Amino acid sequence: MGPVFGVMRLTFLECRRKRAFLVLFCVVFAFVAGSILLPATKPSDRLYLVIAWALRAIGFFGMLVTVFVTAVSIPDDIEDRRVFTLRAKPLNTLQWCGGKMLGFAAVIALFVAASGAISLAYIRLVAVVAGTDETTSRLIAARGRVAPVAMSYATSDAHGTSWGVVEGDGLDGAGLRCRLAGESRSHQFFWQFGFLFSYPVGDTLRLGYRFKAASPDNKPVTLQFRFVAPETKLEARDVAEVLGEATGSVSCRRELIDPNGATQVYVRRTDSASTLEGGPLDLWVETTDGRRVTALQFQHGGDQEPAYVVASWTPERGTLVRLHGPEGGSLTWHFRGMDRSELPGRELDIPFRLRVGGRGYAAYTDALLEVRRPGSDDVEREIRRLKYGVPGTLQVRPGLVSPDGDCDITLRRRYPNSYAEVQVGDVAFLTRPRLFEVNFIKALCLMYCQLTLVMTVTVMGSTCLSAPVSLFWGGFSWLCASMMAFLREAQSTVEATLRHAAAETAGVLPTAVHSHDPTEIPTWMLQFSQNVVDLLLRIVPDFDRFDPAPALLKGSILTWSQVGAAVELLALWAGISFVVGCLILWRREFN
Amino acid sequence: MDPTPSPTPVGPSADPRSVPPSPAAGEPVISTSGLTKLYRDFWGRPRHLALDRLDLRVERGEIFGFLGPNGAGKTTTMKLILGLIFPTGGSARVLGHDPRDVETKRRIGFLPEESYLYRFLTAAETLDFYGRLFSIPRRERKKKVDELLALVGLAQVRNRLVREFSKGMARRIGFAQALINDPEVVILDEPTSGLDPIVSRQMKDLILDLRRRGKTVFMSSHLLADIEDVCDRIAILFEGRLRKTGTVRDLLSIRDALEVRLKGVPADRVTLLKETLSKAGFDVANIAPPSDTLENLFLRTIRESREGESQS
Repeated sequence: MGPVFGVMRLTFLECRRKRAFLVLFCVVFAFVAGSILLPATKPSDRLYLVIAWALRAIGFFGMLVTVFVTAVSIPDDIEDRRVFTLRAKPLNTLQWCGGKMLGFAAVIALFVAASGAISLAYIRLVAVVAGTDETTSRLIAARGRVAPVAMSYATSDAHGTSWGVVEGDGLDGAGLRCRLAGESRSHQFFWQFGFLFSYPVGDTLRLGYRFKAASPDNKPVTLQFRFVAPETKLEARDVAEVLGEATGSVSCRRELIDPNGATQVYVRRTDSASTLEGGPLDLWVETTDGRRVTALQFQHGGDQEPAYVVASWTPERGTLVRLHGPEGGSLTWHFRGMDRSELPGRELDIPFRLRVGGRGYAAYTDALLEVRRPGSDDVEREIRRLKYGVPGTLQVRPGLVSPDGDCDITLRRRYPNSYAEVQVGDVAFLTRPRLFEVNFIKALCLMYCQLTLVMTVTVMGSTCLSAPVSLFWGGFSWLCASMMAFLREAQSTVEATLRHAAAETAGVLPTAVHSHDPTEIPTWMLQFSQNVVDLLLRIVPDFDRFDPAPALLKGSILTWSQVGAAVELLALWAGISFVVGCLILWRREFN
Repeated sequence: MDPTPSPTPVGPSADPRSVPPSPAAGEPVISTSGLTKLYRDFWGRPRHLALDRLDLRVERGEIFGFLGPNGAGKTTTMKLILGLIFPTGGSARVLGHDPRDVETKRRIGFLPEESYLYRFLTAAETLDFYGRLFSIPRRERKKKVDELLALVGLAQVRNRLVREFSKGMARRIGFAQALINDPEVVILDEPTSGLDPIVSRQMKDLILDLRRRGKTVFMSSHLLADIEDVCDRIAILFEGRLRKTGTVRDLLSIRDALEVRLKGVPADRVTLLKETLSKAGFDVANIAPPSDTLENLFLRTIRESREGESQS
């Protein structure tokens, strides 16, 4: 191993003593420190910016360091003829190439560790200034939070039932699906549109819809549309019949847009036995140039007491679910696929902060909290006195989380007229105690794996290319791996188009809005490009999978398994690059 | 530069397990048979015949000089002997093994045409690095580095970066790296090119010292005086082909002439001497005072100047 360490040490010294290395290191330092100049309204927002900025700076300048130091080393040895002296010594190709790679890996480690340490120190400093507000706690919490994947609700009163599910964090309107059932006059959907004068809507306001309706006798469900101009109080009505998954449109006069550009639309069923499903994005204004304008606000539920609004959504606040009225109704947070290794081994902590109250708008009420292992009778129940907006913590057995990491937590009201107003993120599991530093180190590990992967590929190229071409090759490799996410997205679009084309050919689907137009790009060409993309996705590593920034900025925990997956990919590519590089050097003549 | 201390044999050459057996007695240290190198262009078309059927034998313990003008194929031969390039035809053996055999390289020292050093390393780091390539243990390596730096007269600048060295200093550090493993065979490509006469003389003294210690030296040069000074045998290469080979004495001696040196002959007796020899039946080609070489004159002048300065 003597020669290997000799070459490794030489390579390390070579890179470390290069001015470019020191310059880039200083640039990273300047970038991280320069984030103080970025506009931020709150110190905690600055913390967010600093974390994002530091990760990007380390990633980008790390790539520059990697490519610049690795691409020129072997070509320089060959072009400056140092290779004559080197290869006249008892140093075989494996030792030479291996020593070089290890030396570069050490240089990259030094760069990532040093710039990471500076960034971490700076982040801690900014965190002290930011205090302990919500954003700061989320970003650098001592214990991570595992959020539910969905929240469902169900409530019924004398007039009808409302049911719904919110998928994801509730911000995305597509994640909220609601169902109306029971008494038909009170339970309804409501959309409010705004700024409609900014769009070409024409003389008639045309609204497209997409609903799922069902009735016991399988007859079309009649929907009643009520259009209201909130300022002028003008009203109009229309009806439509739907069954199953249906799309269509209704229209009203342009006067139904009030002087502020707003319009409200109410949809309810005429038949109490029917059900109707929809969500915030299922009704839209169709402009004359073919665009869709979605609502600024959506509500699901009743429009008067006791059938109160059950779910409301706005793009800013996301989804808010409210139970009110007579006793009954439930809210369930669904946790799926949690990484059990990240959860504590003895007792699980479930912090919550619920906006609940009792009779007469008292700021507290009793509620039943249930923690259930899905698909079993294993359940723990606890009656708690909850205060409005005051945080609490449930402590349960780890056995209530299934081996797959699934668990459901349900809230039931105990008294009539108590209320609960909640969001998806109000309940979470706490992970094992962890330091932000550990999470940050995992992020640095992921970035190190990416950079080392680029290094191995660049070294492989530099065994047969000149220094400038190797530089280009290294940059190109990084770019390709960084763009795999776009390619994957494009692939799914082409795949959907091809599926539609196949279905149309087979006569399975009616021609739909998104169908493939054969006059644009021939199907065979799409198929060919799909095969090429498939091949590329198999060959080229996808750096997006190992980008730590999204997780860190959400305050999520990066797992060691993610780091392990990155190391696996690195090992594979390092092995391939090493073997190919050695073969090239072995057969290469040094003139 | 003091040629007297000789490096202690250390490192892997002391370990019989890691060293391939030496060639049998009488077997050449370096031999080539029909060695040919044809350079081709990118498309594989023949471009230049650098070496044409070279047959060569270098015996143990001799200094073998390889002479030829620029482009004669000297460096190509050395690269083939070191396994840096592949022969198009024929074969080469070094210490009885293939030139690409890594273990054989433990017993070879090589100084390329220009030292080609890592400019970001210091003198000591350079030697330490090459010592590592021979897996010399740390303590021995350190001792060896100190000895070699003293040998080539660079002990005072051991911590200076190589990029700051003059050409002569770089050449000396290059020479030191070639000796780091106490090699059996030392291959020197143009060892004195570009050096001033003093360093050049010191370099030649070092080469002669190597022979005294039983090493085999294979050196190339186009400086004829250098070859004549130090080599036992020479080979002359021209346009890739071996033109002449033999001992220096044999090749340079004029067989049908005789040189007689007389001391204390006055100028007026020269004519008498010439007439006497002619009468005795000898064909006198030239009678003139003998002249010293320019190199000797230069070195003597420098030495005298130094002595004068030190006395004053």
